[in-house]
Parts: sequence; C-alpha cells; structure tokens
Amino acid sequence: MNLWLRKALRDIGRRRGQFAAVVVTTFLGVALFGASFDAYRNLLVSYDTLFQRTHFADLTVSGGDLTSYVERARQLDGVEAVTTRTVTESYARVGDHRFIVRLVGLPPERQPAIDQVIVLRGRYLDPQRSTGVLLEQHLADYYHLGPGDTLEVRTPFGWTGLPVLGVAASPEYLWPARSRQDVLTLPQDFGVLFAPQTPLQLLAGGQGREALATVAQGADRAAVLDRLEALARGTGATAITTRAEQPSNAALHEDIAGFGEMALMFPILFLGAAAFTAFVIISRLVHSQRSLIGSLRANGVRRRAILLHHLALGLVPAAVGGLLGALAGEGLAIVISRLYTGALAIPITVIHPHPLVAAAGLAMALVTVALAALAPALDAARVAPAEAMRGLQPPRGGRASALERLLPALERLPASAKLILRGAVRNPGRSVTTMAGVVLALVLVMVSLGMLDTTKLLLEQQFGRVQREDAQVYLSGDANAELERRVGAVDGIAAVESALQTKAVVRAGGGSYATALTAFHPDTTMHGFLDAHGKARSLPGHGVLVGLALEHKLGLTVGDPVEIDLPALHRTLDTTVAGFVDEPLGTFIYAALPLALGSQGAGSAATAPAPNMLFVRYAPGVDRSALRRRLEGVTGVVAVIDARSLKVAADRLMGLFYVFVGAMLVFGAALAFALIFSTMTVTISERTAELASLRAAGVRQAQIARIVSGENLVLVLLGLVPGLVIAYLTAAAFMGSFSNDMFRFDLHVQPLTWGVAVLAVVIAALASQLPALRNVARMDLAAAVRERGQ
Amino acid sequence: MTDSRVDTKYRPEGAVVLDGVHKTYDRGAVPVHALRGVSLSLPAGELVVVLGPSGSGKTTLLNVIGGIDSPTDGSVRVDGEDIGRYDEHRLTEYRRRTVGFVFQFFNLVPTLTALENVALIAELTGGAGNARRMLEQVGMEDRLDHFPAALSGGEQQRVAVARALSKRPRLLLCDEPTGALDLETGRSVLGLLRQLNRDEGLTTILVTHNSAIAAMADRVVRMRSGELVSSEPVQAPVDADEVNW
Repeated sequence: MNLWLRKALRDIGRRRGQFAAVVVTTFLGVALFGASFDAYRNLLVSYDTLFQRTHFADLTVSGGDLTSYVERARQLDGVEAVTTRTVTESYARVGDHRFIVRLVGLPPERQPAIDQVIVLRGRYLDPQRSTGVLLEQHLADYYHLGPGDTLEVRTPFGWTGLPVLGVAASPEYLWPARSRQDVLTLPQDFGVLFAPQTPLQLLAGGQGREALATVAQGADRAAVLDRLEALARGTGATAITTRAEQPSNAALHEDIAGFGEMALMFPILFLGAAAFTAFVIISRLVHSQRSLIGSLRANGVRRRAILLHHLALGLVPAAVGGLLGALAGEGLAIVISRLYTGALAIPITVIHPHPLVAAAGLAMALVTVALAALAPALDAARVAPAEAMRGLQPPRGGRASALERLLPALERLPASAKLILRGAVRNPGRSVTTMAGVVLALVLVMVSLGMLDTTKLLLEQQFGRVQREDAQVYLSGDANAELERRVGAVDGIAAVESALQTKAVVRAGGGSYATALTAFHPDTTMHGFLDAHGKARSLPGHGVLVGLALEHKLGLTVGDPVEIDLPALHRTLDTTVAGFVDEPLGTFIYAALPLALGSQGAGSAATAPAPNMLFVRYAPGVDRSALRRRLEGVTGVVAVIDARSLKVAADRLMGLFYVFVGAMLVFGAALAFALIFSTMTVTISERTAELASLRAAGVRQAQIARIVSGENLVLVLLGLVPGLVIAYLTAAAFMGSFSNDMFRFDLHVQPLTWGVAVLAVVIAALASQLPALRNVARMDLAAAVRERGQ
Repeated sequence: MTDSRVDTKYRPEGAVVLDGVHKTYDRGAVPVHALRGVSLSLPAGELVVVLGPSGSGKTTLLNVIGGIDSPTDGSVRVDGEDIGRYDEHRLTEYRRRTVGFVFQFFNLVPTLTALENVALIAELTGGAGNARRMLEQVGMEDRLDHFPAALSGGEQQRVAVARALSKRPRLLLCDEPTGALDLETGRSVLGLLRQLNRDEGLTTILVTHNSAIAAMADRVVRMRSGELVSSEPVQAPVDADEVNW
C-alpha cells in the first residue's frame, strides 16, 4: 500500500471517533439526498406514466357555450383531442350510511379519448347495461364493494340500485378531492363512480357538462393552452382548470414537492456538518503534526504531496460515507416510492435506478468535504522546514472575554467562572462550529415541531373557531321553515340554521376563480369569520367576505367590485369585497343570505333562489352516529355530513406526524451530537496538558467536567439566540411553501415548543461531550503533563 | 542512606520512603520496567535532585511520589501513609492536599492571567494560599494581570511555581523545571526553588538530566535503567547563582 495512504489510514484510525462523525454525517447527507430526490423523481415519473397512459386532460372547461368551444378548439393547431362529458353530484347509500357521490360520464362502448380509467377489478362499462357503473377505487375499498354488488344512488326516480361492473382508478381521483376548496374529503363522506354518459346526461338534466382537451405531443404546450384558455373565456366559460390546478394532481404534487425540498435541505445540513467536522479534525491534526510536517519538508517532500495527503484525510471518510450513503439512498428511494404509491393506491409505480443521482450525491460529499479540508491542507503544505527545529512555541495570546470588557463588574468573578467564559471563545473557529451545530440542529427540530404545532393549531382553528357546526344536512329540496323546524325537533339537535351553498366563480380585474359561496343568516352562530390577524368579525350586510388567498390571486382589496357567477342558480351577483377571511382549509366566499338570495344588491336571476341546506349543532354528549341516522330519517333530508369526522381523521393522521417529527428530532440531535462531539474531542485533545496539570494539582474529575460543560453550555446558549431566529424563519418559509388556495399554513409555534426545542438541543450537546469527558477521566496524567501546552 | 542534616526548623511533614518499588508498563508484547525495586528514604524539608539519563526512570519516580502514577509493586509512604495503595479518588485528594507540581512546559491556562492561574488552583482545590501573595513571593508582583503569552519562559515558570504553592503543599515536585529555559532564567528559577525550600521548609524533589544542578541540592539521587544507583547528601550545597551548565 502507498505509504502516504497507509499514514492517512492510521491517522484516521487514531482518531476513529472523530472521523466516524464525518462518515456518519456524510452517509446521512448522501443517503437522504438520494432517497428523497430519487423518490421525488420516481413519483413524478409514475404520475407522468399514468397520465400518459390514461390521457389525462390538459384543460377542463365548464360553463358558457361549450358546443362552440369544442368545435373551435378542435380546429386549433397543437390540440390532440377534445371531448365532452357530464359530471354531476348526487347521494348514495350503503346500508344506513349516506354520502355525496360524484357521477362522471364515460362512453360505454370504449375508453374515452381523454381521462381514461384503469379497470382494477371486474370490467369496463357495458353498452348493454345502461345502469351498470364503475366505482372509483377509494369508494369501493372503503365500503368493500366490487363487481356484482349494487350501489344505491339517489336519482329523480328515488333511490335506484346501480349494478357495479368494476372498480377503477382514475388520474383525476388518485387523491379523491371533491374540489380545490374541499381537498381533505373522507371516503365516508364523498365517493366517485363512472356511469354511461347518455343516461347520466339525462339524469343531470343537461347540467354539468365539461369539455376536456389534450395538447398534442411536440406542440408548444404553453402556447396551445393559452389559446385554449382564451377560447374558453371567449365562449363564456365559468370554470377553466389546467392539469396543474386539477385538485387531485395539485394536492399530490404539493405533497411530493416535500421530497424535492428535503432533497435540498438534507445535503445542506448534513454535508455542511460533515464539512465542519472534517475542517476541525484536520486543522487539529495539522497543528499537532507541524514538527513532523516540517521534518518531511526538510527531507525534501514536496508541498503537493503534503497537500494531497491532508486532502485525503477528508476524502477517505467522505468517500466511505458517500458510497454507503449512495447505496442506501438508492435502496431507500425504492422503499419510499413503493410505500407512497401503495399508501395512495396509485396503480402505476415506476422505479428507475438513478445512478447519476447516486453519483451526484457522492460527488457533492467529496467536493464539500474536500473544500473543507483544503484550508488546513494548504496550511500543512505551507509549513516551513524550520518548524521541525523550532522549540517551545509561545502560548496563544489570552484576553478577557467581550462580556467581561463590556461588564467590568465581572472582573470579580472567580477564576473558574472566567475560565469558562474565556474558554468558550478561546478558539473562534471552534466556537462558531459548535454554534453552527446548535443552529442546524434547531432548524431541524423547529421545522418538525413547528409543522406539528401549526397543523394542530390549524385543525383547532378550522374545527373550533371557523366551522362551528357539527354537521351539514343536505336536502332533496329547499330548506323551508317547516323542514328546519322538523330537523330542529330531532332529539339531540341543539341548534339549526338554514343556509345556501352553491358553486361560484369570482371575477375581478380580468381574472376569475372557481370556488363555492356559502350564505348564512347575518347573525349566524354556525360559522366564525376570522380576519388575517385571527380576530373574529361578523358577516357583513353588504358585500362578501372572500378567502385571503384571493387577495393575491385576483389582486383584490377591501371595497373592490367583484362579479360572482352562481351557475347552479343562473344568477350573477355584482357586489364588493367587504373583507377577507383567513381559513386553514380552502378559499371560499361568504355572504349574508339576503344578499345571496337577491333581496339586496344588484343581481340577476332566472328564478328566486332559496336556502338549500341546513347547518346543525348537536347537544353535548350525544351519540353522533345515532343522531346522524335519526337526521337521515327526516323526510326531505338526503345526507348528513359530520363536520367532526374530518377532525377525527386528521387527529388520527397526527400519529404519522409524530413519526416524522420523531425522525427529524433524531436527525437534529444526531447533527448537534456529531458537530459538538467533534469540536469537543478536538478541544479536549488540544488542552490535554492544561487539563492534566489541573488533575495533577488535585482538581477533581467532576470539577473539570463542570468547567468543560460550562464552556460548552455558554457556546450552546450563544448558538441558541441566532439559532432560534434562523430556525423560526426557516420553519416559516418551509410551512409557507405549502400555503396556497387549498391550504393556509402560517407557522404557529406554541411556547412549550420553544422550550422542548431548546431542551432537545441542550441535551444533545451535553450528551455529545460525554465521550470527551470520559477521555479526560482516562487521561494518562504522567504522559499528559509532559506535553507542550497549546 | 538517610541524611542526618535535616534542619529542625523545617516542618516534620513531607518525608518520603519508598520500599521495593517496581513500575512496569505494558507496551505491547514487551513489558517496560521503568522502576526496578527502588528503595529510598527522603527526609522532610530537603531539596533533592534526581539525576539520570533519558529512560532511567527518574520521571516515573517523581510521578509515583506525586500520585499521578501508581507502583506495580512495593510501597510509597509519604508521612507514613502508603499512597501506593490509594485508589484514584484518594490519589486525587492526596495530590490536592499534599503535592505541588511544576512541569517543564509550565502548562499554564493561556486564557487566564498570572493571578487568575494561581487563584484557579487555590479555588478548585480549596487551597489556603493567597494568590497575590504567592506571586509576590516568586517576584511576579508586577506581572499579576499579564496573560501567559505576555510572559517570558522564566516568568511563566515562576507563575507555575506560585500556582503549585497556592495549595500550601508539603511536597513540591519539579519535572525538568529549567528544561525549557536559558541559563540565566534557569538559575533564577532554581534560586526561587531553593529559597522556598529554605523559607517554607518544603520538601522539594527536582528531576533533571542536568548534572550541574546537583551542586545546589541537599541530596542527590542517581538513577539508571530503572534502578537506584545512589542517594547521597551533598555536604556543601552551592547557591543557584553558582550553578553553571
């Protein structure tokens, strides 16, 4: 073996604990980079493959003159196909449970040209069986339905049993969202089925038509979509949805974007830690071997050889950690991709090996650590041969700490306290490294704990201060006073209010946004309206309240005029923005009933609208399932959606969050441990003679431990101040990256969380010094006191 | 080989008696015998110079007496107590109460001033000495607030001596205290050690390979290959100023 390499390996072996820290942090950085980036790529490719195979629509348009739109769209260059279909909603029941069901029209003879389905069980629609349907997989799985079963659906003819021909997956419902405003729907509340187009069109009474379009391969996608959107607007379309905006696709992309962000964050944190550690260790090594290096130079060894040797001290552990990390990352990516697509029931999982990603991870590790090793390696190469002959080197200059200079009263502190204060800042580079470890660990801890706090608080806000109803009651007709009275008389109902809920398109300043309008009584107690500062406000008599996301999306300000299309009511409201509401889930519009029903404000309507649903609040302690069944037994009530079921499901999902938070806490602690462990062991080894002299003088081990811990704690405390600020800003940016019109994630951190984060980092820091303190306890005093102090 | 010249004004504490002391280190396959059956009696209050070439065992002897190393066999009695049987905790207490060390490379804390370096040891070991007075005693009253980096080698060694004295030890053990100093500075430090030995009645053991220093000792102990060659009193010790090398 090359002697230089042998020396490097032995140098590494003598400091195996410290170099192991470089290997571990490099391994984690490269493995997590590979795992998250490959998983991100695998999932994107899986989606794309599925979308290509099913001809997922590039643009979906509804409202306006669809016939004209379709005819003209088909003539446009770059348009591959344009189809139409009917989409409508009704109610279904399985046993005594009722829920909202969306019926999507498909040609029974063959798969459509756009938005095909993948039949997972049974068979495709049958032209000979006009009532036969396909169930979307989430619906089928939740109710354990399959080919040969029957699903009862409410039609104009009453509850009608529809035979299930098969179970299918659709690119539109991989995440079964009802709309962009209603992304978190539960299978017990909402399901999708695919029915023959012609009978469905009749059932919907000509309503609910949509036109789907795809862009041809090789065409200028953006330009074609622009032309299609312009055409749709020109033909009076009320809702235009691109593939990116499609609720399921948008929600899933939002989700997997997290992998992409982690692919950036993990290498920054862990390879940064590896670089810091390598820098500290190699600097110390060069310092302790200056005489040896001087001797080598005196004997004619070239600077280049010394430079490369010291670079190798960083590159060897980085290569070991990087290679292992690259392999682990590839394996982890496959596991994550399969788990993810399995959990979401995505029918196609494409797993490609990504050797380039593995190579990139390894290269990042090598380059990062090599850059860190470069400064001490250059320092080593610059050692003059005369260094070998030089005798005792004078100690480094000491001085009072900045704090002592600032507060002269500290002069009266005991010498041991001054030793702690000055020891903490004795080596500025080392101090900065320790503080950086604290900052990085806090970032990881706060991002994960902040996410937990924010999610908890937003759920409490959504289901405590915003949605104050216990259930929404859907009706077969209008919510008249008699029906309201009957529902209010049901045992267990504490309060009932009628309301109007309908699809809406907001138009302002040339832009539009498809959402839903809910109109309450002006003095409603069923819904809370919170402004951007979280303060409750009342429903205005004039104008509408709009979700905060529209402030930026449509450039709205309070007082701006807006036009609100209500296609189901054949009505348009010309009104103003009375204020904004900050709600965690969805972006909705709220109005007082008199305004929405047309008794106030400018508007046009074909027929006089009326409230179409009821909001109810339950008496405390009531059996919610039994009450739901009693409500569904009231004549005129079609379905009851329990507002708390989503909260309960979300609370259950918090279990997964705890796993994520736990993993991030472990990573944060590992990061702090690795950095502080390295700096501590190096610091202790530099001070061997000094500490051994104290031990020789009879200073107890526990006293030394207190001094060293005190110095460490001072650095941790110094790191906590910028660390908490940086961690908060990072967590806010991380959460903010998930905020859009579907969800609002404004970071909230509970006071206790700050304490937990600080405690976790302090514990990690204190634990990381234990090996170094053990070395002090095991120090060979006789040998150590003869060393030259530094 | 005892010395009858012990001055009665010296404190009775600080007598050291070694009986058949062995010290063997395991260095891989071949054991290293640093001390081979050393028996020695050092009366309290003497200034003893231990001489020997490199590897003769003189520093091991000092370390065993100072309680920073333990004998493999034999007894080391200081004021009648066999410290060779002490565990680590009792050895720490022994060093805390009884021994002051001065090392070749001073080993001062670079972030503390001269005064603070001395005060630190007094503070951490509960030593009775007044740090300022100790520094005055070693002639460093004008350099109290200087950090080690601003002190010469001789000055640093004086601070190290003051530090060792701050606990009011019974034994002052010096390992090559002039090894890193030039002649003049070395003489100055040796003069200080002699003065303290006489003024305080402090048993002082000084290890060196420099045979010239033997001339100022009350007793000279010679070592070779881990064995005691001789332990003889010096009939007419010279002043430190007269030592030359």
